Amino acid sequence: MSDSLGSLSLRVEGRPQDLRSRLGVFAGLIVLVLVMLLCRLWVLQVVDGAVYAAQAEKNHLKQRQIPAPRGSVYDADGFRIAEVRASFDLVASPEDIDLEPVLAAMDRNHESTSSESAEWGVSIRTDIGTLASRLEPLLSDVTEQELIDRFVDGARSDRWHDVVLARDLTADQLDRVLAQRAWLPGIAAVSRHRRSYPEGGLFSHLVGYLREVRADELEGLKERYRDREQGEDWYRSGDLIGKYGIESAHEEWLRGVDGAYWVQVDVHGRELGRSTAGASQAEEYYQSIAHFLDQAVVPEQPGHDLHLTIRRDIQELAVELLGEQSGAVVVMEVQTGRVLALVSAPGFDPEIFSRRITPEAWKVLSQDPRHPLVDKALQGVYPPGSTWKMIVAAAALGTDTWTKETTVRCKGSHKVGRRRFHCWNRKGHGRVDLKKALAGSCDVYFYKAGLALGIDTVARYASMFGMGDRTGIAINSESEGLNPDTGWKRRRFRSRPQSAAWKLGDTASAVIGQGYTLATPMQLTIMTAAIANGGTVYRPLLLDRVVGQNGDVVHRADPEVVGHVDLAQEHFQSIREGMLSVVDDLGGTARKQRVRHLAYAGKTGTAQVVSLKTTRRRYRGKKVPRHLLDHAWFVGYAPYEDPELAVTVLVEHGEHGSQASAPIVRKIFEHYFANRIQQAKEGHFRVGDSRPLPPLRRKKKPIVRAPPTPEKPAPAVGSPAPTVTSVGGVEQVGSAMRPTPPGEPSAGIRQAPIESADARASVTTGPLGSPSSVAPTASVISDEEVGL
Amino acid sequence: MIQDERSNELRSRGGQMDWPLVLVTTLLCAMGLVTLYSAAGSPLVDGPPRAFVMQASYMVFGLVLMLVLALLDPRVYERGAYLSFGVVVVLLLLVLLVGPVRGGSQRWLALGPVNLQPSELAKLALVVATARYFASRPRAEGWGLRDLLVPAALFLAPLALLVFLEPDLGTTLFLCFVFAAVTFVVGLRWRTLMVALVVVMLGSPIAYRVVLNDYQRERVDVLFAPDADPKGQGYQAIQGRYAIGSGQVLGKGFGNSTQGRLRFLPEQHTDFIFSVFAEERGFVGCVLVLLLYFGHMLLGLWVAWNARDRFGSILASGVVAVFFCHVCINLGGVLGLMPITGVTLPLMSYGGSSAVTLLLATGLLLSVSTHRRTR
Repeated sequence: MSDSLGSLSLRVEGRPQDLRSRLGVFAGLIVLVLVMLLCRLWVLQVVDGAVYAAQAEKNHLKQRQIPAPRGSVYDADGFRIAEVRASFDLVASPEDIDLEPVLAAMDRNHESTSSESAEWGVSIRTDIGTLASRLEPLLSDVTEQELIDRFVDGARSDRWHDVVLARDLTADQLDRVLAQRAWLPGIAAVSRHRRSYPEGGLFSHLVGYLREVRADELEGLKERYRDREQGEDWYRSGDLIGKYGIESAHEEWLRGVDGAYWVQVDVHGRELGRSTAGASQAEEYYQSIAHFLDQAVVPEQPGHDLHLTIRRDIQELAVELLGEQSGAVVVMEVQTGRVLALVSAPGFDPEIFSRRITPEAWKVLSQDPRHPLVDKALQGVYPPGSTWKMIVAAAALGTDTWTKETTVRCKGSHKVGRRRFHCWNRKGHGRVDLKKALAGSCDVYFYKAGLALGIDTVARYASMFGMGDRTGIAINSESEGLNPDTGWKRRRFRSRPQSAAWKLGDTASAVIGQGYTLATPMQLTIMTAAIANGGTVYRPLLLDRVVGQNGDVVHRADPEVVGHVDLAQEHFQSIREGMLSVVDDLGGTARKQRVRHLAYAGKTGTAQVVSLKTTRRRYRGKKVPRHLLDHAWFVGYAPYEDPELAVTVLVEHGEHGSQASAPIVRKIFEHYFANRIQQAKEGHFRVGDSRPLPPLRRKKKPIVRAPPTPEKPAPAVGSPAPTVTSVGGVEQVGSAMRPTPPGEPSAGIRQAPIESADARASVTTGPLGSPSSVAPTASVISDEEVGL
Repeated sequence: MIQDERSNELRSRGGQMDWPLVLVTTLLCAMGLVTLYSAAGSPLVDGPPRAFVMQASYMVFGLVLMLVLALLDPRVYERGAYLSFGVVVVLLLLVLLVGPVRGGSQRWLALGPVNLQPSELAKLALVVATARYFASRPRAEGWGLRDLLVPAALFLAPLALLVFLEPDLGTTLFLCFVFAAVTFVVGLRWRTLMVALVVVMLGSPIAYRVVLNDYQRERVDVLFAPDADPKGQGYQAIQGRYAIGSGQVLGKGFGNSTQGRLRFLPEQHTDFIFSVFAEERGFVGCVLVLLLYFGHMLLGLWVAWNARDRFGSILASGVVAVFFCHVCINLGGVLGLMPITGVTLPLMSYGGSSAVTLLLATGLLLSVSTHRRTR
């Protein structure tokens, strides 16, 4: 179009025709660019649109957890053992916080001419270092570096969920942090459920505790639940998991499933709105984000409530009776295996483990010579001492080696090989049959019986009673104990053949529950119950039922028979007579603990801590330090006829079962059977004894005296009772919340406070400080004086 | 009303207003305002955002000026070309002397409540001045590199240097592009063009190392690897892409841009307003707005084609070049085809100086169109 001729004329006229070819090229370029831009848009919006839409959605919609409360734990009467309360945690969102300080925040580079940026005054993102330096003075109990470390650890493992920076904020901390919220982008205080144990250390070993799940455990947990209904996200960093006791054993029941909702946030993490369930879906706001969501809210599923077989009143009584002593108490129903009390003393406060335990607290717990962190009832293994004699008796009778009439003459010792084995009674018991041997705990009788039987026979019977095996209680990785026999010793000492042979002396030690023999208090309870119920070995039950949120019982634990002792009922009866005699007859080792209106059977035991010889030699005439004293056992069941309850008490370094342990057993029976004892007293009969009640011959002096003289002075037991009285208001609140159990054996303790100073003068305060226990205590004294 | 060249012969000077161009321009303004309302707003704040109100008044002001300019004869501009060029140079000098420093650069003149950005006017001044220069110097043999030294030194150099000193590298380059576009239209030799392109291509790696500072270099790096630093340098590009992509075919609807309104996307109401538009209106809306832009440019070229004289033709193509550079550079950056620069999207991005300048430019187009040659 631009030939030279035309261009000349155009130049003169200033006409634009010479430009047209270039304009055409320009138009072509414009169209080309248009096509390019359209292609690019097509790729971004149509081809990859869905991907980017998901990314944009991730920006502004955040899933938030609705923590599910953990199930509560109740005792048999509905008292709360473990519950859930609210507490506030400080959390940081890794998505909104940088690990390193970034250059300048984005919008500082940009010179905005609008004053609108003032609304968005806080810079978009902050780094954890800055935040930590702002938080440190607000929290004041944690250093900047600790905060940074916690955040970095948490963010590394899971950057899509909030990291807990501080747990259980105090009211002060919470107030300060909330006031400074504008300067803490990405930080939030969230309420969460806190595990609380209203009874403190009362159930420490039983209920156990929670701890924060460790990062390395988390992998295993994800793996474990990946293909199960809970899903792999059931546990997250920072969650608490049951680590001990019921909390651990029934973790799957107790733990709930977290729910979720979604919030829309802006770039600062500020929440603009949240998805809600139900009617509010009609809300304008919800409508605007509804198209992003499949589901507005995933409701949380609270954990299940556990109802235990444990009775708080018995547990409390047992703890009180042990007082400062270390030891264990097991109370179990004879006919079902339901455990009513499971005490290991001293205990600990389970709550300290769900927080970060302080080094000092840990030191106190771990270095206490009484080992508060060991469950003595289930993990503690002790020589069972004379409580083992029932097993030997069962073996002797069951194999027809001896009958109950077989007598042995005890001269205070028995020579086995070249070694002389002493009876605890150096003077000797004289001629004893089974009943007397059990009553007086004659060692010589059982040396001879054991040697006649052979250790393998004794061990066979012991294992029928469950010895050497776990009872199956399923908490706290209980110990197996040790039920030694020749095979065991051969295996044990394989490397030293000269020691591997079972010797007669070993048998003599084993049959009186010393030497290699070891048992846990729980095992001895099972044994006692089996003797009482005629040979049935139950699995100890702690869990009665599991209740879902709507009140449905989703699981009920039924008594489970796990073994049977193959022994004729008449032989059981012979052993039971012997055990009754321990408490009831003159010459019985626990004769002082006789209860006039309740017939119960029992057996004392002494577990040597160091050999008698050593103790005698080293501490001749001097006081033996407590930690070298023998452990005191008492096992018993009640009532004698139609037995219901088996109790084992171990008092570490209690020295004598008859003095340290038997009174505790007696008091537990008196408490449990308080009502029936009362009836018996009124009706002049004896609970558990169909024989007519022997007449009570009084001496001249009145029987009822004050103050009483039981083995243990009252304070350890009696002291809590007045405390309760003095804070009557609190106590009323407490009892109003609790359903009153039928039969109310606890009334004995609960009502104790009623008798205050004036009442106490007239009523002899028994060791329990309870009126119902007064009478039997009194009769003990009278019986003794009368010399029945 | 576009009529065929031949049927135009009888038209007298002072013919009919180019209504299609007015319509396209007004539509773009309207779309810009609506998008701005959403982009500058936030769910936390009720009522029209301040930026919207400001921009609306600039728009009204600019549209009125545009119509006024449309009525004047292009010869007025031809006569006043060098004067206006001088005024702009003075304004740019004033910026450097008295302009407030913001974010490390001086780009504004504070005029009471409003801020004037003379570098925007510089684009127009360059077009007008070069149009006058080239209009009286037709060269059948075309323009070689040496021939261009004089106009470059006279017009491009003062403006580019002053803008560069602000510093505003983006606008400096922009001025170069516009100058190049004008020289291309007036007959830049193909050979010269090719040589220039080769030099630019070979020279750009060197320029990348030598001329650019770290900040500018990062912008280039981000283009090629936006995901390398998603929370730092790549953030803007990535969030912009999320915004555009998430609009998909039909868009999220007005006021539902989450990327923009919740501020995940910085610059959402200025340089990146197209992202918000794309998020709310989807591919369909984007096609529409692109057609409007390119319709505007093609109508502008049609004006140049039919201009009464060389000045009108060069002026019109210069104005088209300004629009073209704006659209290309802005959308190129927003769509991830080019490095992100601070170039606004004509008539949509928030910014008074830019909007008014571009409306003035359209006014010049309309003036040329109204006073097109009658044969």
